[in-house]
Amino acid sequence: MTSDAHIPPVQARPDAAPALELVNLSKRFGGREAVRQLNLRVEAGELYALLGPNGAGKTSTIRMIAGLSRPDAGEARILGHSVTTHAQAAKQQLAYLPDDPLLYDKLTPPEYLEFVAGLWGMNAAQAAPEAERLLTWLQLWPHRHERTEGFSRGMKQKLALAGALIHGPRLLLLDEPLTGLDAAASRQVKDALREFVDAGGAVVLTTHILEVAERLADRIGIIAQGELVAEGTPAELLARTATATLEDAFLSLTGPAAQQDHQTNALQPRGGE
Amino acid sequence: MKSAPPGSLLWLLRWQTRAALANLSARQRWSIGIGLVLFSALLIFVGVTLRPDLSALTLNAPLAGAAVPLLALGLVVLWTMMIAAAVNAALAALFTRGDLTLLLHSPIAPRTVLASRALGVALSAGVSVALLMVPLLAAAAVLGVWRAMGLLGWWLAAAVLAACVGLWLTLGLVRTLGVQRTRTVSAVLGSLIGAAVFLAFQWPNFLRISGQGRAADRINTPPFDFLAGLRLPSDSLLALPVRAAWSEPGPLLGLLGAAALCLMLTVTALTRLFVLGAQTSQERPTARLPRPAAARPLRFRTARSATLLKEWRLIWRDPALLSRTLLQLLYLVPLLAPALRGGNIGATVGVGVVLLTSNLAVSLAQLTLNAEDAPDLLRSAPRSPAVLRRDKWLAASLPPLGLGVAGLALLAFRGQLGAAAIDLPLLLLGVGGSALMVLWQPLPTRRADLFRRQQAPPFWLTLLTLVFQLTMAGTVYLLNAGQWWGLGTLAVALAALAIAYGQRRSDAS
Repeated sequence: MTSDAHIPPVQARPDAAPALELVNLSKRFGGREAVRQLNLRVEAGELYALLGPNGAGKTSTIRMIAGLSRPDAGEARILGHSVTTHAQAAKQQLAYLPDDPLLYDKLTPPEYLEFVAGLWGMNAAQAAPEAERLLTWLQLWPHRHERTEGFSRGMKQKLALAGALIHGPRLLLLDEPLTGLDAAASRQVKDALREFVDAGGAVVLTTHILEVAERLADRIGIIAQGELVAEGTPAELLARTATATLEDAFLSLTGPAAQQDHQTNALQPRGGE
Repeated sequence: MKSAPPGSLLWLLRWQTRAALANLSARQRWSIGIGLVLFSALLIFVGVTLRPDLSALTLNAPLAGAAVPLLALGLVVLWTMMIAAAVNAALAALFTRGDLTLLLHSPIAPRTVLASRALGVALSAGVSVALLMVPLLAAAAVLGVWRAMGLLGWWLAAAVLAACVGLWLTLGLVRTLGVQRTRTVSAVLGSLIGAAVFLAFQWPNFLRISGQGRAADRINTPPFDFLAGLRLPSDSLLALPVRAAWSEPGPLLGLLGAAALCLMLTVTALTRLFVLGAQTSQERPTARLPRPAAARPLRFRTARSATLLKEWRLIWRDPALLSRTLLQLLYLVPLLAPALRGGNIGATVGVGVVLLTSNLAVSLAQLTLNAEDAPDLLRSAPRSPAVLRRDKWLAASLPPLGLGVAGLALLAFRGQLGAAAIDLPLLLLGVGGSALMVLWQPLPTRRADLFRRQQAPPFWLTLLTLVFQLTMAGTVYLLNAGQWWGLGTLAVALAALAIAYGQRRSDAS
């Protein structure tokens, strides 16, 4: 598979705003702070993996970026467009793929893609060949007359990926995209993401599979208790934590000892961070 | 009291009952409690008022021969309702309960699991006719008709027998059709039986259509002639349930014994089939086979057309949901009786068309506007939510409008052009307004949960929708009859719509 054949290059923007920028993003659920003053920046042509233990605030962050939940404070900007104040322009550049694919059981793949293309305001004459190309590439074309209710998890995830890519987004948000996929489907999704990034798109994904993050991501952000506790390339994270593997680095940053330090720091008055 | 040993039938039944009670919402528990208190108060009132007057009558005499066939027919109707409920309950209990996998891979014997499920199905079957049985039994108790207490025994036996029939039918259907299709078939059958029983109860209303108002006339109509002509010897086997219900000890004991024996045989015979069915129920539904590869390029439609098609496909391809939606319309048929009595064909067709299509619009709007399976997809898309909801409103309104226009076209074709011209704008307003009421009060839910009671719209909205639809139907009738004060009912309908608009809210978060 070559990148030219499958993912059209993403057009560069003259103003070169980052693909994603989070500024002091915060969210509370009840009395608990799920996301606390999160700041991060993802450039075009970059694959960013957001790691963290269960309940760290990864999904809450992703949902705020996708416009599915409103931040209590701060802002998420997609290619310079605020998700809160210019939602339509921001969403036009975005595709969101959660771990549970957003599909309709009773529709066939082309019917689903037709609806999704309409949601993103695509020209029908352009959307149809694009859908055909994506279905063929993701090996779903022979199943185009079948309803998705009979699909395996891998097929569903691939169809959702086709739905995410059909309108040519510039930022892909993926929440645990490889959960439950077999080796072949997983490889295909990973290849698709790499191609998308090589073509100039940006990807933000959350995952619990550290090997995936290590092998796929250009940069990794580690989030714990709603805060970004470390960020950098895999090599930078290993150097910073003086560990040999990403798993060790992850545990040293998010394990019980790190959390205790974190809580102690949180109780102390904040200096100029 | 010593508790049942873990893994035994009693232990399983206790868990099952606890799970069923936990599923009741606080509102349902309160409703049941308040309903019981009010019902008891009513019974005491009836008992105190009527009992002295009835003391002279012989209420506990042996059953008269003429009453046997009528009672037998009544019991058959009740039993049919129980079977419909049993098939649905069996499907849920045998193939959809989340703990079935856990139970079947535990050391508990599958036969014990099936026995507990079968008793649960019998309970569901029994409860399905409780609304008819409880008042009947309570009234009999208050009035001192002690022989009618045999109905309790009949109820128990009938529920167990219905459960047996339900289990055989369900497992047989699953083996032949698969779990998914059986679910559809049983949902359709259940709705059909419910609707048929309802319409049968409403039959007397229709008999009065052509002015046969007097009781004597009514009793001479053909269906009552048919009932009066029924004969059933009291010593026949078919009369046994009736005699059991009238507390004759032999038939009652025989019926209870037969039910217990039938349950034991059913559980023994069906255990293997039950395990097989449960194992295959987790498999994915059979996908449609690929069509011969006619490599035609894909053709897509505009955003609005794609939304309309998506909504219609999702409804059309879910036969269980579609049948329940359409069968709801059957319950409106008795409301047409007053219009039918008038003899004005323009008014009758107009009332029928407006009432049925506006009700269908509400049902479809609940499916298109409220029951969205991928709400996050829509919310993460740049398409304006307002435009999308308008398209969904259109998807709900167009099919009933099409049906209504076809009905009015027939009317015009039969020479009632004037009536059709009056009815058409009212049809547009009735359908559009009814769907708007759903649009203005979003109640997002999963499609599968749409018919669950907890997901019901607020009472005031139901009332307002009813007022709107009935006054629209009234307007059609009055304007067709040349009564211009029909504009008054139209004003009430518009006021109801205005109130709903005033109370509108958004589902955007």
